[in-house]
Amino acid sequence: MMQLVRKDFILITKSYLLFIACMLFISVLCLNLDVDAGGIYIFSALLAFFIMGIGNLVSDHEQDAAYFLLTLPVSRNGFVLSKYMSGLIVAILSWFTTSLVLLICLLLPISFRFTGLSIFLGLSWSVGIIVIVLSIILPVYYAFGNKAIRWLIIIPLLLASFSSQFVHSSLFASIVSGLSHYSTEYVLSVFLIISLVIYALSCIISLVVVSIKDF
Amino acid sequence: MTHVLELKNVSKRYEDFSLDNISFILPKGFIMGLIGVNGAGKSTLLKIMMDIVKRDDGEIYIFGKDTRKQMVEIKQDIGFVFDDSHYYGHLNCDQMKQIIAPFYHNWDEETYQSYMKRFGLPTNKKLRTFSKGMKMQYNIAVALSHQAKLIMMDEPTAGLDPIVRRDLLHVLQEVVMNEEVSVLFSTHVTTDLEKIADYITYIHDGNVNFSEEKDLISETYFIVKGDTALLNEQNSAPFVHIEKSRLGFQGLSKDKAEIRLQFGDEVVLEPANLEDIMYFTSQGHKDLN
Repeated sequence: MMQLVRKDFILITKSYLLFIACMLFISVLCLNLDVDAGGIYIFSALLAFFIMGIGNLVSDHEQDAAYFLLTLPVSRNGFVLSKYMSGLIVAILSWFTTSLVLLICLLLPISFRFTGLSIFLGLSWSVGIIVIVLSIILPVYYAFGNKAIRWLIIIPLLLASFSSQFVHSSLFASIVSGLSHYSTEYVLSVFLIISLVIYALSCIISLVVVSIKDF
Repeated sequence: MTHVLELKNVSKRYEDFSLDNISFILPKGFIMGLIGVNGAGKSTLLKIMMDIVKRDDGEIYIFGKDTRKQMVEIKQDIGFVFDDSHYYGHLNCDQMKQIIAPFYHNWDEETYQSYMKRFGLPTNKKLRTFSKGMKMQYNIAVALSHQAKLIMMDEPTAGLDPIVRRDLLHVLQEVVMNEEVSVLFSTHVTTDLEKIADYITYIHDGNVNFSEEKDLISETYFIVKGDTALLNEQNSAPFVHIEKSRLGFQGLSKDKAEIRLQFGDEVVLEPANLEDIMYFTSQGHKDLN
């Protein structure tokens, strides 16, 4: 299974370099526009999802290569689990890279707030967003292939589009007031745990789908 | 005799097609040709053996191991070649090798390099820029570089130029020379098999028509040629199928004694090649349907 994860990272290398370049540019730009670190983490998670997630983990390349991958000495379970593991590593890589870029930005003459809480907030957003989106996409990808994926990738775009309206809605206000009883760290931890549980459930669904699938 | 591959009543049903009770055995150290017309189920059967497609019923044993329980272990010793390249086209040979080699305990870099050199494949060109022949040669180089004991090939010679094709067949003959490696080779180009196969399994309409030693098949089937006027309803029975033309008739049969009894020396008997057998058998099935 680890060889399959290694394979994903050989395929991701170029995209990762592109992601770093984009993050450097975007971070400097956003910080100059007074966007806070949390916002940059959300942006980086979406960028990582599109560049590395859709570009490599779930793509036409992968769909066509499934035949050859299944002739290798790996089990069907290993085939699925490796993909979920790669997804999680991409999420952590996105958070780690963005944190590193923001730390570098501290050396630049730009003033912004970047604390331990910002880094934890970044971890929750980066990992949470990427794994939740992959939780929806991967089982569909295994069941129906790329054609379905082309439609599903609009999910994060729709979420991003409606997020500003949601932030100004009464539902959001009531959620915020409910959550205000808890500390930020607690809320972020719960969000992170829930997203990982969703990811685990999605993995189980994919394992079932792939165990009966004819490629 | 040790069996490398054994299929027992393997079945797979689709809405418009099915493989029914496929059974055959491939002994160790031999080349078996899996023949059949396009759509006969050859590729599906190979995919079932590799667990790319799930079977509905039946048992498959490779190296004596149950493929339902020990598939990962079994795949360590299988080299699989598809009819087309399913590798990542945006990578070059070296990058692709970096992905594949760690999967195999017995990856042999020296063998890999020797095949790359023999086929004259560039290591730094993207795989998508390769010709059909080069892609097939690369598939074969990879399949033969981890000391596989069973090489499975799905239509490897389809669409190849004669030089590449002959070289490929020569490589396969070299591979089985040490008697440790066996080859299962699906094709509808039967002339390739006349050259190299020891056993032939003929699949027609999802069923095994026969699975025999090639020499035995050549001895069993023959083409009968004669004047159309000689034919009547009674003496047509021993034929698998008969084709009539202005010049006379020709038919496939495996009942030599009956043909001689019915026609005496008025007909000519010629050995049937695999293409004749495939063609007449498929036409015979159409007659029945």
